[in-house]
Amino acid sequence: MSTGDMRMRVMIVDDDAHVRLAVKTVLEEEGLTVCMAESGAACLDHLKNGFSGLILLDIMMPGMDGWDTIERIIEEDLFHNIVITMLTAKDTPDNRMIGLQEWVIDYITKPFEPADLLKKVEFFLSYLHDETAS
Amino acid sequence: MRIAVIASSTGGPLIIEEIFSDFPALFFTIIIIQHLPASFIETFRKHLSLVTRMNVLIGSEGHQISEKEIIIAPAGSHLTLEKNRIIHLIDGEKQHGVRPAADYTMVSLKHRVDDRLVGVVLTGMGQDGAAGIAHINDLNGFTIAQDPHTAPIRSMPQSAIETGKVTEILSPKGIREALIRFGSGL
Repeated sequence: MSTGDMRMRVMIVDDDAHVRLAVKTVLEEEGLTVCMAESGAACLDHLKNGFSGLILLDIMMPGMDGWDTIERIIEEDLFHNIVITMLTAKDTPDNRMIGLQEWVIDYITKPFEPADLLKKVEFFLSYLHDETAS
Repeated sequence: MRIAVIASSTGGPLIIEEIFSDFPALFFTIIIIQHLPASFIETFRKHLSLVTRMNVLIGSEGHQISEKEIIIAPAGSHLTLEKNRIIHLIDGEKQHGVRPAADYTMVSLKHRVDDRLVGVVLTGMGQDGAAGIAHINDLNGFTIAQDPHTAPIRSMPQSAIETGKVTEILSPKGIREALIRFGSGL
């Protein structure tokens, strides 16, 4: 994998610095380019600055939570060349997900097995490659 | 004719690819309602077409379904079947927060003496597929819910199970085997 390839980028959106670092470490060991956002607002800033790639999005964050963040991404027409999967400690999503299902390709719960996470990340990025190529 | 309708949402694309990996071309029609943004539907189709020997296409208005076909509902429209054979796309209100909703497709199925029906509900949030599963069961069809313990989100299969009209609760591997048996006429 080319680490400079924009299509290989992964954004970790989590208010917990330890989680961001743990996920970043796993992904970078596989040659993926990772950027980090400590909040939904920071995620939106990355998107406005042209981020394309996979977004691993936490749900429970102070202020703008994961669902708010997805709603803003849709409202501000920022859903371009991105794939969103939730990466969360909530083993069952709440009803706020109703209406947002189609925008979330998968739902991964913490703690996760690194091998399982990598398998899914690779699969989601392949969706992005196809969309970019088509 | 044998017809299977699959309801799938968040977490579904990877599970569906596992179910249909090396899936043989069989004499039945599978209709998949996968909740996805419009920009990913063609990618989803391409992925599936690479792993199965069935013909994989996106449903279109007036299409007459055939055996050996997997039909994916397009984003933004509900998909119904007229007389269990002809596809119609309907721009109705969202149901369960989604369009297409699998319930629309499943509930449009009718009793035909020469048809055998299967309904499957996979991972996802909400209740899409539950009413459809009950309907298919009432038509003497075979109904399957993904084992919630194997689903990234348990809500949809759990809702289907709670109707009391699910014939079997299966893992993705078990669902694959059941579909192959069904498509083989066993």
